[in-house]
Amino acid sequence: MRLPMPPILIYALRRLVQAVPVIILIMIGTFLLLKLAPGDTVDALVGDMGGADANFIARLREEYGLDQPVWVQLWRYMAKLATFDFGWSFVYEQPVSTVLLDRLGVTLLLMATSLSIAFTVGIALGAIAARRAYSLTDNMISTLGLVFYATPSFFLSLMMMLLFSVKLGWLPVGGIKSIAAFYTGWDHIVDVALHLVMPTAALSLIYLSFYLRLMRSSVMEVADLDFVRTARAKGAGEARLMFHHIMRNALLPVVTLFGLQFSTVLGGSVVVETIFTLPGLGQLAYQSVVQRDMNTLMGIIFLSSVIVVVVNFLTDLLYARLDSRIELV
Amino acid sequence: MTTLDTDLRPPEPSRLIVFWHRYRRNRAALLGLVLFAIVVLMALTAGIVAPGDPLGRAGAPLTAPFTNPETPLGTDQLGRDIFAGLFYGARISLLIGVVATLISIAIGIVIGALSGYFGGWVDDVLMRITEAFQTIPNFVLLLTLVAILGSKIEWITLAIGIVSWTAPARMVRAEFMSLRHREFVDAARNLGVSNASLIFREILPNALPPIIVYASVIMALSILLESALAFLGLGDPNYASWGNMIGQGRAVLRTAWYCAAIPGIAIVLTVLSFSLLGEGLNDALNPRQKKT
Amino acid sequence: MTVETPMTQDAKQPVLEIRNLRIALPKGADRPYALDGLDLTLNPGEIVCMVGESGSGKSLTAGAVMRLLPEPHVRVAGGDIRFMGEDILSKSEGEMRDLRGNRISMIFQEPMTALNPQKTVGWQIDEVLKLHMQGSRAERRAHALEMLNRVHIPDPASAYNAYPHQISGGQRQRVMIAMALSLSPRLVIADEPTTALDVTTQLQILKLIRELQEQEDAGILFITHDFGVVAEIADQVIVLRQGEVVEQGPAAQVLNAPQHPYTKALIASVPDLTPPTAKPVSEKPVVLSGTHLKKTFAARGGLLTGKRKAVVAVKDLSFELHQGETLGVVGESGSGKTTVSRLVTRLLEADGGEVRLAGQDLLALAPRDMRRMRKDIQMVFQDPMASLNPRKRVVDLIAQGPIVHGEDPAKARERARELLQLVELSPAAANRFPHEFSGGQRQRIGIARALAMEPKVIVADEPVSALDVSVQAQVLKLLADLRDRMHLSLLFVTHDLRVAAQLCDSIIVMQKGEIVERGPPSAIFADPQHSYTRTLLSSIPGRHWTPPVSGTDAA
Repeated sequence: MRLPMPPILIYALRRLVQAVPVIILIMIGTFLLLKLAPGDTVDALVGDMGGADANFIARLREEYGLDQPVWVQLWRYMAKLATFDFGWSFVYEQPVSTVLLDRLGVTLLLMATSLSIAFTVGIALGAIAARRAYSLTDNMISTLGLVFYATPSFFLSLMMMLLFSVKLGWLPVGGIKSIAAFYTGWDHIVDVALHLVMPTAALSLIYLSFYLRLMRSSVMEVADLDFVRTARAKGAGEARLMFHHIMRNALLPVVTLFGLQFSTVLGGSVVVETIFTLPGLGQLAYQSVVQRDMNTLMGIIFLSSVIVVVVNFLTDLLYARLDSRIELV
Repeated sequence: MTTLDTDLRPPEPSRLIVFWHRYRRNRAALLGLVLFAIVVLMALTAGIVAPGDPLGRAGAPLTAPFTNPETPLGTDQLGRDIFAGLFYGARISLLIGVVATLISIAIGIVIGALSGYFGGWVDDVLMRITEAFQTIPNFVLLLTLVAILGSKIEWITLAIGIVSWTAPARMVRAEFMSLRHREFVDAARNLGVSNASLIFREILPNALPPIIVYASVIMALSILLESALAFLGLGDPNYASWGNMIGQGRAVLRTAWYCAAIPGIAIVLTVLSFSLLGEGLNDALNPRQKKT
Repeated sequence: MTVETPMTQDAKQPVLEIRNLRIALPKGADRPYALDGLDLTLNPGEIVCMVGESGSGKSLTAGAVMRLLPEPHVRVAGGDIRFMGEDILSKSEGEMRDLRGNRISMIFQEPMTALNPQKTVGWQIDEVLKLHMQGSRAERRAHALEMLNRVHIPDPASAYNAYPHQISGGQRQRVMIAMALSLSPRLVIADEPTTALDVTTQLQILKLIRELQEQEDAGILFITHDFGVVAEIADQVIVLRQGEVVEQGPAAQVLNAPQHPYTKALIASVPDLTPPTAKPVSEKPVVLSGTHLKKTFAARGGLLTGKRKAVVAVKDLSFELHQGETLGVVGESGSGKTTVSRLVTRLLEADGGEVRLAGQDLLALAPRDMRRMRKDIQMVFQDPMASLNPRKRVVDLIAQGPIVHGEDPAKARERARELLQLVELSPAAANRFPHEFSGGQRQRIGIARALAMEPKVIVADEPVSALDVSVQAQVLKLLADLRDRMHLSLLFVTHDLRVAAQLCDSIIVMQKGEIVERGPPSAIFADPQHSYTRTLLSSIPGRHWTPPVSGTDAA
């Protein structure tokens, strides 16, 4: 095709057009859902102040537009959202966008470290297990996978804390950095890394087991396909079969799972961040729910939806890169 | 000399027996079945083994396990019996696991079946909705739903069902899309069978095996979700729950780690039993995948 | 056909010698040995065909020679395999790897799945060269291009850079052959290399294999189930049944004067190419007609782009089927013949045209009325495995139609049992599930299901193409019998000209969605008018060979 734009741009635009309705649907749904909740922002505010007279409450409602019919409120909210204005957080006394941006970095860092560990280690172990199927190695890897899979992240977190922080004192018990230390440069990086070891482990192990199990069955399935037999008949050795013929084909379903599951991983960060008091979006989500900070909660849902859409787009690109049958033309 | 093609083979044993023989071949799956049976037994006998309120005081606070025969697994900081909590917790976990799974599978089957069978704009609309649900991080949605609906056990179960239907829906859709063009569906349609019968009587029974296998995964995930909610203090406070016990145990982790560890192990074993069960079902229902 | 008499010069060592080969199956299989006591000698420049129906053990022989059996479940339990005088069975895995692809190579059945979808054609040919040939990248590339040229691929340079899905099935098989022959192997094992191909492509590939073999003087072990292909290519023939050799000898002898009753029966099952003399021109009323049928598929382009390009499956097709007659719709894959069967039964909605059944236009009916009309036009499907709902008992499968149309369930089931007898199955079959039957038996059940509706017309979509040849003959015979006894009208879709010749009263030949020729088979076979029909007829494997014992007169 002779087009002035590179294919990848056209593809990105098409995906954008598809993603917008989904995000609008999410925001409308969430908005209406939150309107069902008992008590609104004013109730929460008044509750914080320890009560107020009815006139004042009515005036507040008017001020925030809460006296309008739901669809007017919805329209106003969506109109503001279109300019990336998420409103004001009454808990943090800041615009929601400021609060979100403060927290975004930690969550992205946690996601990136956990998922890259889960993905690489998962596929490596899965491939090894599959090539030694039904052997002792396979049994050990598979059992480990099952146990990781069955261990809730919060339980794993507590047990790690007990062992590494309480008993051994090797790792800090929470937070993203040592508060009073004011490290800079390398020291800062090492400090943050130390703080991230346990959260990353807690979040990644369960997904590691997902990828491991899928990769194992995928490799075994691909190994039975005709073209692998062809390669054998050409005189290719086991290593060559694995790296040139099996791996790439076997990776495809794992990449698909990665894309589908990303939003779940993001959800998992709520628990892990809360336990390790990491100042990220997950912890913020939990606090907003508990403190009924609806604007912040809506903002988090919007931001995480956008992240999920972007990650899904990237995984699709990766998939297309891996699968030569798909053309981005 | 060519044998006539019309001679029948000897009859095969009944499906149930074949199923059991295949299931039995997987030893891990048998272990899963035993673990599962134990959890069910615990849930059923909770009232007999540990009569009385599991949330009431049963002994001195923070009694270590194996020191007092009254409270064999010790007590927590409020003096509640961990042993009793374990049994009653099994009840809640199983109840929520089973009901939430049924809800999510039911929604998933309806959405997936309609989407996969009819295709076209029905598929487009339903898939956009599915994508929307899949895009919101499920635990965030769960928190939001629980914040709105409240922490009653019925609502928690419903909320877990609502956040986990997308995966089965996609799966049912994929099954339907591949099955609807199979010749046996065309054959039935050609006999004059209606759409509703085609969906529910012809295609669905054939789409069920992978869904049944996947149900074990959802069951495990539901239990994990419930325990995570309870751990964060958003569970139903009127029932003993393993997640809640771990959450409480966190406060005394330094001194009495067993308070968190014992219910934690219970969750691990329960979830393990479901995934082993699922693998056994998979071997038994989709035998072509295994070659031993 | 060339039949080579045994070589006079003893200096020529056999490429492959197999003595008393025995391959063991795992415990619990239907027999202890997949192959029991095979003897075989393959000389250079010779093609030995191993013929047998499914389950005869012919493919495992290839696995044994390549030492690629799925061990330890299936393994060589005894005997001797010698390649150029060397004992294959005692070689180490490393020594075998040096042989494979280099001095022994293999061509597989499915060109679609036998190539790695993620690597270019060039990469895959280069892999063999890299593994076995010392040479620079440029030398290897030149050699690969030369091989692509030798297998007559147009534009080798662009084929070199193409992915397998970007070239046609026939070209993929040419690539496989290029790959197999690129290092001038002494032995080539071809496992049903043309089975998945259309008849015109098949002939080209067979010719290509012959041509290259003559250039290279290699020995070819050719595995097939098709006696037509055997007649086309074999020097020596080995007939296998259930792992045992029933007959072997020079091709001319086995084909024209078979000794063993099994070989005789197999050869008798091959439908004769000479159609029976034409019946007088039909005066019977038209039961089913199609006029100006059209169907275009909006095929998806690239998966991510959503770009669609339309494929015309049927363009402006008209036909008439007379009461009590059989109309054959003949064509290769992609000709639109299967689409016709789906349009007529309205399993696919046509874009335009009419289908008249007993005067009613089916395509104009409301869904509810169409459902009622369906009892008059029934179908027998291609895949006996896929066309029966695996979760239903046979009796329910057959009784389902009448019950849907308001018949009393008990009566319908009773009738179903009678129908089973009509299709020559024991009434004991009624309570079983489809997986307990063989392919031919399942197809009989499919026929009974169609008959249960007492239809005016039966549309049969390649009903025997998935069956072994001996079973094929039996099912065709049953279908012809029933048609004559019950005055059925048959629309018979097939790719197999032999079958069409025997069964049909008249034929339409389709190419790319259009009818290129129509008429009674005797006329078409004797004097084809259209060039495509001529190509089709001249591509039938073994067309010069007339099976000696004509046992089945299906029509």
